[in-house]
Amino acid sequence: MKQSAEKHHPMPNGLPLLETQFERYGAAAIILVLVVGSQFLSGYYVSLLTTITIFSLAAMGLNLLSGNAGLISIAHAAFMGVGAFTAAWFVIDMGLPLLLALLLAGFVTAVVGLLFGLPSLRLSGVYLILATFAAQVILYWFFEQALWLTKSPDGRPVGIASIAGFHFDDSAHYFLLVLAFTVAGGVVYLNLLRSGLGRSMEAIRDRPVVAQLMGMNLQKTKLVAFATGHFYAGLAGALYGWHLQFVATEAFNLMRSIEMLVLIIIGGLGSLAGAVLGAIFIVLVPEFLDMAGNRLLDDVSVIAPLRLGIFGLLVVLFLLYEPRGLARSWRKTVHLFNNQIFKNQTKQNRS
Amino acid sequence: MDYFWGLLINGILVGSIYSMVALGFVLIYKASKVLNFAQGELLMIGAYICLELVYQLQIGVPGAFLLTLVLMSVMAILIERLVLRRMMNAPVMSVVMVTIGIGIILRSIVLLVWGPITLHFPAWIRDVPVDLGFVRVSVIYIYSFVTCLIFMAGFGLFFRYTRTGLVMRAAASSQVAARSVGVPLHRVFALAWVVAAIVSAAGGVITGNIAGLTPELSAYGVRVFPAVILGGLDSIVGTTIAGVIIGVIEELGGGYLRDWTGLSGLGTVAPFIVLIIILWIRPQGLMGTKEVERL
Repeated sequence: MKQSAEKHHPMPNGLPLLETQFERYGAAAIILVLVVGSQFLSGYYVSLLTTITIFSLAAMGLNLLSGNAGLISIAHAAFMGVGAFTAAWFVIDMGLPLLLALLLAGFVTAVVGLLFGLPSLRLSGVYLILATFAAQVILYWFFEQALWLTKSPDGRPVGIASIAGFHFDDSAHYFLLVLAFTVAGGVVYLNLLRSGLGRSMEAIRDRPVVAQLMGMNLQKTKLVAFATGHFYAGLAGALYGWHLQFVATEAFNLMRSIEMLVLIIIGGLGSLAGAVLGAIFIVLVPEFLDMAGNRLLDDVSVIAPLRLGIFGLLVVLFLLYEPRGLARSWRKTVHLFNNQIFKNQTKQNRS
Repeated sequence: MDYFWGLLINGILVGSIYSMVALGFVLIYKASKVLNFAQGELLMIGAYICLELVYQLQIGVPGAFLLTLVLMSVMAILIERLVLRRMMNAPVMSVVMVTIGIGIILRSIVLLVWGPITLHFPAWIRDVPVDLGFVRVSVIYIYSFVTCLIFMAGFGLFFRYTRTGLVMRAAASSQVAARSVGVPLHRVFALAWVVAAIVSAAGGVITGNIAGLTPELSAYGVRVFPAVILGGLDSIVGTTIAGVIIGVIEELGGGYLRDWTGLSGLGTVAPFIVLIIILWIRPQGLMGTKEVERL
């Protein structure tokens, strides 16, 4: 992650990609552990890791859109679906190579997103919420009806991903591909945030009038945020399709879209750590609840609604008591840790 | 032609339910700028509570209905007091998500207590078709239409002629001005939630009597969105008219477009397509305030 040039020639605006030494080494260490560790894990854990990584990528898009630019979308899962189905169509029906199809799927999703979002970008936030809700309903219905694209109302099988003759038949190998895309997505996300564009997104979110007075281009900034956010959604959706080897319509329903929003709120709005922590939370907690439910109760008709209720309760409690999410809890811990070390160092210096 | 009239009348009758539920949605939005995504779940749980009262207390549907309205008012006050009041200065996103969270909790309660199966009210109205001259409608639809009219007229008069109604209108038109002349905003918000819960429960009981109860009743909450956008997000009159229009679009869409296009489920989707089109061409809706941010 760290570029050696950065140390000697800092960015003109003085913002490095990752702010502290701790974060830089931490990120490198996490990636290294994931790359090596994933090759030794059993299929179940690799699958969980892959899902978390894909959700992180999708969440970066939504976090950019809703967290940083303040454009709230309740259709993120539906746009992931657009990416998944178009990528499948490009590869299977058009015979394009996978990498090209993934990128094209991202572009198509961005265009479809603009189609729904463009009118309400001129209006206040509540209109965009309702417009994206409509997009969720319309797109889901479209997936069920447009059989030339989706083959069956339930979805279409896509088989095993392959690039230039290399088949990803080992799920641990596919995880590496997903990880590469997610790391790249993370670098782009961080880069965007430290650029003028990223910071004008946040300015426009907080004080639109002041931002405009200072010469920021509202429309252009919102458009870029909207297109970029949906590009992430499309890419993540396409990767999700080949992860399950089946593009399932059901995976892109309203509940999943709500989950994506809950993900970034619980993780932390507007930060990379928020997207990743939220993804870990949203994938592992239901998994854990299912395990606990199966141990303690045998009645399936109770487990599912109970899980739903706990999920709803978590959402409400998080919003009431930790509205800035896990990323803030994490930062608080890190600061505490740093202060402790700093204190010790000053003590040593004095003695 | 009979087919057309049948669909049209059905649409108007279903639409009157939308209008009534949309009234609650717009009222909360006007009073506190909160988009209430739990509206459908309020409708659903209202219907289930009424059903439970009917079978537990044996007081007949009308009696149970009135008792339901009381219970729903209590629940609305609790929701406002325990959750929404603490979110008063929170960003739009958090408020929207909190109402979604409340909706999810209500839905899980219904699934836990009553399960996903379809339940039915006891038949308390003899279901005879009424001849309107050009088309025959089930009498229960007439009852539902009249009930909706009574509720909407009742709230119309309440806002027009009572002091409390005046205070609520004041708060809705400008929070700052209302607060500066001493309007207790939190009580207005609580009252808006009570009204929303009452109209939702009424809608739920009516629909439940027509079609039976399933957790899917909560879908009515989101079907109100197109009506709200079409009518204008902050216009109660506009929304009332738009509710009926959306009901008609839904019925005609489901009835005719399916035959023409061969696509199923177009009825429920058509209003949302209308929503997007409205946003493209006339975002303030039929009667809403124009607040387009020209960029």
